[in-house]
Amino acid sequence: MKNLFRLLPLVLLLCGADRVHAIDDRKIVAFILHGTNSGTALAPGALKEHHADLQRVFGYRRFEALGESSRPFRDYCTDWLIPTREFYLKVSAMQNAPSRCHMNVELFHGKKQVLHSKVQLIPSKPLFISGPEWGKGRLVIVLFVREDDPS
Amino acid sequence: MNENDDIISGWIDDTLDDAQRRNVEKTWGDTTLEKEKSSARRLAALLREFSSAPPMPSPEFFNSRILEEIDPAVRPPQSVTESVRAVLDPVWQVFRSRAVWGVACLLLAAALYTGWIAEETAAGSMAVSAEATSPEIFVHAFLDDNDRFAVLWVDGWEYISADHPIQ
Repeated sequence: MKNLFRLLPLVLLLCGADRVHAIDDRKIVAFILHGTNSGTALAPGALKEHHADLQRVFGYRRFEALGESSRPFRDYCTDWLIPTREFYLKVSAMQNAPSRCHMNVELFHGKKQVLHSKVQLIPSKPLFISGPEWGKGRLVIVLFVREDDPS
Repeated sequence: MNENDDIISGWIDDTLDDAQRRNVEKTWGDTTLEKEKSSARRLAALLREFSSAPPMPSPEFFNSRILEEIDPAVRPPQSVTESVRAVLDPVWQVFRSRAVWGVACLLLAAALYTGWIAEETAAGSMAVSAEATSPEIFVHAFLDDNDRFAVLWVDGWEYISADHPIQ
């Protein structure tokens, strides 16, 4: 029992190192999707898990990716995510905590800033932003934090 | 004490030389001398019995009371090292106890739990707020009931024709 307690700091250190590693490997990812009801149901691979959520919120069954962009998510760093030239985002990471990511997000349409948002996201749980209607559907901007597998 | 007493005391203590001892025994006779001897032994026994101080029931309390009553001005001045030691010794005694280290370890574990594990399992930790930067745009932020996603619903976009390519 005494030896187990002696090993406790080492175990905690290893667990902590593992968490730091996971935080360092985070990326912020943005998709521009085109939601329509024409054709078969579809969602990009990274958003397969949230296809039902997209369908429920926007009322479309097919979400085709028009563009994707990702950047490393680091504390107090600002990056541009440009999935398309027309719609892009400026993301300022505020805090990269183990269970959540705080950031300021600005959405641009062309040269014009559309909105400014403060977001606290859980990794792999997305933020959906409804875009303008386009053709027979609607554009949807999806933003989420991905914890990449270092291997 | 007269001279006779000295001589008899010497005879009782056996400090007389032979001539003095014989002279005493001849002068006083055995009976008188034996009386004196037994009387002296009784007195010695009484002295042995009552000469020592009675035992104190609680000597530590008695000592502490005496120390409290002593005027501080009379005490020798303490050096700086002694003063520091006097302050730190009780603190060190507290920290030496295993109970204190046990409590410290528990507090550390609780801090780790609340700052790490509890945060990991915290429900409803998504949050979103937004404001439009154009007067024609309205933004509504909401969270999924099951905390699976967050939504910024933006009204006021201009329709984009299907002919317009999104690049």
